[in-house]
Amino acid sequence: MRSTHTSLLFIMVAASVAAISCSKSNSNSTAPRPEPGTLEMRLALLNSAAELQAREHGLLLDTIGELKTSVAGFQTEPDTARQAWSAVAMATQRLEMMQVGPAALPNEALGGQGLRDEIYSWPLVNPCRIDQELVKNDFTAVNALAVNARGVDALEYVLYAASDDNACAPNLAINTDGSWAALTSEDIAERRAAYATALVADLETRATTLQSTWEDGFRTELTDPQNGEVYGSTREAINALSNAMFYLDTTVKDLKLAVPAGISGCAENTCPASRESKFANITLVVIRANLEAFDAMYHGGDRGDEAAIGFDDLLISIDASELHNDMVTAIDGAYTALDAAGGNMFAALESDPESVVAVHTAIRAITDLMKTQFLSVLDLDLPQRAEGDND
Amino acid sequence: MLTPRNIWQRLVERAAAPVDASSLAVFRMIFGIIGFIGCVRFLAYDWVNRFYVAPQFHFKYFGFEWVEPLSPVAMHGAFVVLAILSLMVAAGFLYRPAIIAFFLLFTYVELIDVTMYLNHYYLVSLLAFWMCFLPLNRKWSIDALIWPDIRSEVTPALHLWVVRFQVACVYFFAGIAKFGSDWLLDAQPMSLWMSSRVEAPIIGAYLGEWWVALGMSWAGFLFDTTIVAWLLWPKTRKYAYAAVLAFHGLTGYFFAIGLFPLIMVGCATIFFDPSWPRFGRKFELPKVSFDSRRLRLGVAGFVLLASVLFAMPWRHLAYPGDVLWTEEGMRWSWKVMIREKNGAVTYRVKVPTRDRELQVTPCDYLTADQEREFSGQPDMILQLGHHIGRDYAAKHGSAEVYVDALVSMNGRKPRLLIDPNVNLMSISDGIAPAKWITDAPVDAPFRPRIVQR
Repeated sequence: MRSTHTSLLFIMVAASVAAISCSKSNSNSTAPRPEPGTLEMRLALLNSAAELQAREHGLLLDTIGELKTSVAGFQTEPDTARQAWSAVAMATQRLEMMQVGPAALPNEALGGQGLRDEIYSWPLVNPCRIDQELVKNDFTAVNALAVNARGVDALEYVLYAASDDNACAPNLAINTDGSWAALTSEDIAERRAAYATALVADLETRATTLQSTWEDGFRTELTDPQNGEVYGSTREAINALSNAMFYLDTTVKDLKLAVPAGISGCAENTCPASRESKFANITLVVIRANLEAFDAMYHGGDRGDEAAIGFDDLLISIDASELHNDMVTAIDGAYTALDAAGGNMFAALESDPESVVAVHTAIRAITDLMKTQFLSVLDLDLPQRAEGDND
Repeated sequence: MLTPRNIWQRLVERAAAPVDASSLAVFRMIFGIIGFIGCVRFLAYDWVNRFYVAPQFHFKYFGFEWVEPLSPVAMHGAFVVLAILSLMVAAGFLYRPAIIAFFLLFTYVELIDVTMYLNHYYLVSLLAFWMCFLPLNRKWSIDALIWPDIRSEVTPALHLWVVRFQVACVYFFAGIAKFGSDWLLDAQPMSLWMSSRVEAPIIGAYLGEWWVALGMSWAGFLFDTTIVAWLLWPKTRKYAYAAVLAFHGLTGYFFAIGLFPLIMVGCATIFFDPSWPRFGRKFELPKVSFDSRRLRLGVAGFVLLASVLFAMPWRHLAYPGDVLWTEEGMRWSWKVMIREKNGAVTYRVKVPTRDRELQVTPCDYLTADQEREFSGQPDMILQLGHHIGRDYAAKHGSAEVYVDALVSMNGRKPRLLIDPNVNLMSISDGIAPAKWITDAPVDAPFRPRIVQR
């Protein structure tokens, strides 16, 4: 129990440090501030968002580099590898909120190439599928596997699997033909380590692809939308940022919180088995990382960074300061609710499920504002609303 | 002395007077061509799937709950048939059966889902309805080539009146709908819309300024309320039509309003001199009268139906509150693009098997297009509430459904649109004023800062 708390504390501190260092580095205080209500203001917002995203890509690659080193010694020093994985997970969770262009699914966003799923495919992850690969014991073609058997979520299962049991149903082949039962504890540990090594290598390739796709073209599409091929206007490009921030609504609120807390989509009073990152047991910590990324997207970087232009600046520039204050109050309310619930959702659901419901309520306060006055005042649309007629 | 009998007699005389059939023949062609473009556009953009096949739930019109979509193949087939019928109308080939079939099929398609309600689709339905009674194939048509007996250079004035009335309604009531403080004093929602379009060429730099939006709001109001008069008056017609082109060109450029600009630019020609398609070639009207029992019936029918259609847009006055908030009397009223509403709707469901209220998000049942449309419209929120209630009652024995429907209108702070303490399963939709809809906000809408240059 103590080690769980220690690692949670480490992850939370690491995540906060990463968030702050990332945001601060976005600063460029020499740039002149654009006039309110102008095209320059909108382009500055897009530039800040692009800068933020580029740095998050860099952070992800840095953490993967650390993981690559530490996963080699997984069998002897599993905690080191797990801590390195946690740093990767935090970087990934921040990027979850930034699915603009290539990271997003093609049918969900302009310029989408589905690269996010190649890195992290929750909730598609399939532990049984991973155990089947362990039985095969051939990790030379991990890149050809389906997304539910690789990526950050597959790594979590491999690194945190607590026993020698597998996750497949008893009627599946690895259990009926005795192939899993034939493995010794050492076999399983060795294969998990080998699979983890292969998964990290694949992850590095995928993250590099995301970064290069972004830097070699898409970044310009976002920062100069009028002259690009993806967005026709700054309105569409800014809408793409807003759409990405709706991850807080559709995934964080409706999937990560509502289902385990028994608010919706759960047949019991609570459904802790449906929580994210259940093997590492850091569900609420990753939700905090999502919220921090939302905060950064909203502010264009760190809250105190004067040079970073975000939605806050856009709102203040058109005299919607009251809405901005409401947004900040709602975001702060969500941080407070998360602090109250702690980092361990499983424990919170056991001892005080209402604390998780309170997090859901606090997140809903943000998304309700987003869906209503935020969209109205900035003349934005809900996500996934492709062009249609109106009158 | 003006007696009802005299008025009727004069009306019939004027309605029976001959007018050149040319402009109505051109109107028929324009209608058919735009109908064809519209159908092909729906098929090309895969909108048949998106709007009619993909949704698992369809919002029904009050009184038309029995209308159901066809199978995916048949829905696509319906649009192919509509495209063919449009071409037949344009060419005047088997015109009468074609326009009747077009009216029935088009109206059926429009009645499938309230999400698809658009004023210009309503206009197409109404025009098609009137055209079922108008012999617009007497000139410049394949029918007139095949059956020379039906050929005619002239037509009763009544036929022109019918189309002019319908098109005039759109402009007039769209203008009247703008007569409100949000539009005329606060320039909303125009200011919200314009502030995000600052990269438009030439004028873009000024679109973020509130006074520009105010000017555009007033221009829109004056244009809509007076343009028909300017188009009818020969001295101003040329300039008025230039204004029509500019107005619809700009709205088409700025907003995703599909074929609406094209439809109105085409329809506005009906206010020209009926001989305009002859481009100055002399044409003398024969001295005939179309007065007949059939025409008199037509005049009576027109007066009756026109009265109903003219009264429809005023019906919101019979309901308490602001129609833009309550939406009671909003549809079928030519209230074209006059409010910006965005909503966040969460249903709360109480079932006997659970201690805690369950929360249901609309996206579990709706497509993104449906969610965007329904979130500010109380009757649609009620309809989905009933559907969710039935769904949960089937699984849990019974269900009470409440809703938190937060709505921001014209940039105001969001507030509840529906009483959150009312069990939606205990109320039903109807034409009586809905007591479960909250009072409209009385504060001014959002007003952006005036940019200092």
